[in-house]
Amino acid sequence: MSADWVTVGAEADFAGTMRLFQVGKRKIAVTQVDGELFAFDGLCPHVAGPMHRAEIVGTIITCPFHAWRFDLREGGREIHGYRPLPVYEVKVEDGEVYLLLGAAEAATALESRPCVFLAGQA
Amino acid sequence: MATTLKKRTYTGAFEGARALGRLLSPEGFTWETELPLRARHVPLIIHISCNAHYTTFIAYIAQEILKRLQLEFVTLGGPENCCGSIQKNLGDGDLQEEVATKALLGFNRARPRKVLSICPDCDDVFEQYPLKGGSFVHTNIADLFVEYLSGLKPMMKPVEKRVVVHFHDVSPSRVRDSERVMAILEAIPGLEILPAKLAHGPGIHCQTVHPMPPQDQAAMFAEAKALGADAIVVPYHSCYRQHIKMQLEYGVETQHYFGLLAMALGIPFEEPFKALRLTDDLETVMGMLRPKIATLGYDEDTVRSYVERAVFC
Repeated sequence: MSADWVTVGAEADFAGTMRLFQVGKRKIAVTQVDGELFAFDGLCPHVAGPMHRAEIVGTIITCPFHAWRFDLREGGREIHGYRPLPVYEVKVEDGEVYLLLGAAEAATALESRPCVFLAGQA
Repeated sequence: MATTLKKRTYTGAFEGARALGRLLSPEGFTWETELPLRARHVPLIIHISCNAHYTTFIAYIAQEILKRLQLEFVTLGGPENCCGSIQKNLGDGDLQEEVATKALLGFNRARPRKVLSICPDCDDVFEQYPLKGGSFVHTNIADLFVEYLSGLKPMMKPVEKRVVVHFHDVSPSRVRDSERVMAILEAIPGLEILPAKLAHGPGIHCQTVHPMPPQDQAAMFAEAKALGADAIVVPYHSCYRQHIKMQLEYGVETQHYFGLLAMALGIPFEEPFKALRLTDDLETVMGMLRPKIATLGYDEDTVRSYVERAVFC
């Protein structure tokens, strides 16, 4: 399957938010942590918890269903050793955010909500 | 930057349960977090809810009793089996039904006859979202021991204690639990149940967020002391956590009814949470936990924050 870059909007729209997109059959969440953009599956690999409602400590995001915790900087590794969260490559060109996905499909914005950033307790 | 900050968090609630569950459990005590999709049939599931991980000796005693009754069971715990009350308490009430249903579907993998919970919140939440086609009845664990009381009675030895029984009766479920706990206690030879008038608890159980008012708690212990009670017996893990500290002032112990049942059946058990709480000192607690914290590889400051919230509640 060829990989394609899919645009999900202007970089300025991601500051302090967690945005959810429908891309083909997939839900993909995108957020910005310390100025760096991360894209990952919108559904937790455990039992499909809503990752766009996750809490964030540094680059670790915690699913609100059962607190499976994934490190976005480490390819979505689950820190207790459970299944990882699929993450996607992100690039910014001319102020637009692109995700590297398996096939070219239009991204539809589903939801945007403020990030839940937590201090400490990583 | 538009951000949201929350004081109480999933990270804190669930990681605290995970960590303290491991730190405060008896040696060798284990639980599963989930069953395989095609799990073999197991007739009984002991369900350890999130906050019940602070007092896993209760589930440990339940396991030991079921072994003596030669009943087959599996123990499920961890945040992975949350009923959804945490989500509701943290302001995500719309997630509760889905979380509860995920847990019920997880239980159903073993096609059990009964799922036995320790926490009344779990009882109430699961009751709201019955699983269509589920094989099991979800009930408080007291139910099973009443069912098998005739089998347990011949195994019991006298427990020479005088006790006051703390209870909750806010709903038919709580009244039923109270009746079952009383039936179990009345079956223990040697146990004297004292006629207390002030042992009634508020709400569903004595929660951290809705505790028994301090003046009522003090009156309950003062009465128990005046009656010459050795212990106040509680029906729930949460009441146990709330009342232990009163022993420091009144000299009357708090005991979960499983503890008395274990004594009657000759099952040895330890109460790590009680031992920690009765030190009444956070740093002493941290000193007691330090070797195990190191062995399990936890960060000490993170554990301290869990202990502060869970043990000194």
